[in-house]
Amino acid sequence: MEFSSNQPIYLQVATWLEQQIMEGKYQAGHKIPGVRDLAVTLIVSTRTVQNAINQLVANDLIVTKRGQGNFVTEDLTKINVIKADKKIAITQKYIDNVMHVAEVNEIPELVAHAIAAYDAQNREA
Amino acid sequence: MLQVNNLHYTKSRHVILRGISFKIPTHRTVALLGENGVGKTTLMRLIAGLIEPNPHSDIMIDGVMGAKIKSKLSYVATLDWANNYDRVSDIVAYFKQGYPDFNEARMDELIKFMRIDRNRRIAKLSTGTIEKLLIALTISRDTAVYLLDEPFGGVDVLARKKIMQSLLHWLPEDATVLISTHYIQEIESLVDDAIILKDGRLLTYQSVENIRQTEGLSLEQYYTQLYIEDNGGRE
Repeated sequence: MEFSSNQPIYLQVATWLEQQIMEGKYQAGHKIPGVRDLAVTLIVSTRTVQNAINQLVANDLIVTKRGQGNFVTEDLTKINVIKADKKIAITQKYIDNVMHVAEVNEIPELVAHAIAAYDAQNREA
Repeated sequence: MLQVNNLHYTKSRHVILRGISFKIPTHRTVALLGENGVGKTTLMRLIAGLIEPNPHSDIMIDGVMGAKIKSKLSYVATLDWANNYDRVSDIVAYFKQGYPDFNEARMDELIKFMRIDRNRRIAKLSTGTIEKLLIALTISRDTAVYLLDEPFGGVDVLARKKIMQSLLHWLPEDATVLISTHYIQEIESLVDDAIILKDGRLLTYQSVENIRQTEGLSLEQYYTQLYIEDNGGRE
């Protein structure tokens, strides 16, 4: 895993874990890999992985069952709320960036153009 | 816990270490960083008891000092002591015989994971394979402290990845680990703390996440900044 330099690594691992859950790679109610296995996969210390998991436990996205390991929450609403928040956050970031180079009224056209390009690319693939 | 107190080392009137002190608690992995010739290997050899520090220097592992310290740590720096005709399996046999804490099952798993050929003669091994074998031997003992001196030297990127994964997978949970390396960027996510040496002194001993949180810098950026500051602003 590649890490950006300006953020604690455990937060970047937490974001990665969250991403796996949002994409359904780790499904609601299912067990996630053990701390050591995640550490080996991501090449990150077990302490950092544990800190990342603690972060998601605090956000109710992961539940620790004693003696059994860590599970994705069964609460789909919880996952959907975080997904929605994420969509808003990413869109906001895009808007913040694009405002540096474009006028507000140009944005819908730019977005439509980008979506068309994305569709075309995916059709080829 | 590995404790080093006021460690001085002078060799033929040349001062190499000038009063180094630090305490590494159990279950922490620490990177030992510093430019070439700063005394990283000397520090490892002193801790391992292979060379003697100046008087009034203390090295302690879990309260144990002196010659007994050797049974509390694992350090395999070279295979120079082996015979050229020895095979990997012979080296493993020596370790099994020599160290009561040698964990043969772990060694078997590591040899498989690293794809080391047991029947190969030591003299025929590539630099990368020797490095992998040294790591495997080091972490196959059950000790309190593990010392790894530049485990990534002369090793390609895939072998470095394998070595890092084997450390994460096989080192005992409560191990205290000291790893010297120049691969700062690659080691960063693997370690809890970093010790930075310069001119035989300890510049800092800090948690890596703490550096990111308080300085907003990666370990490599922080290391470079400290060196420049210590040079009075010159690179």
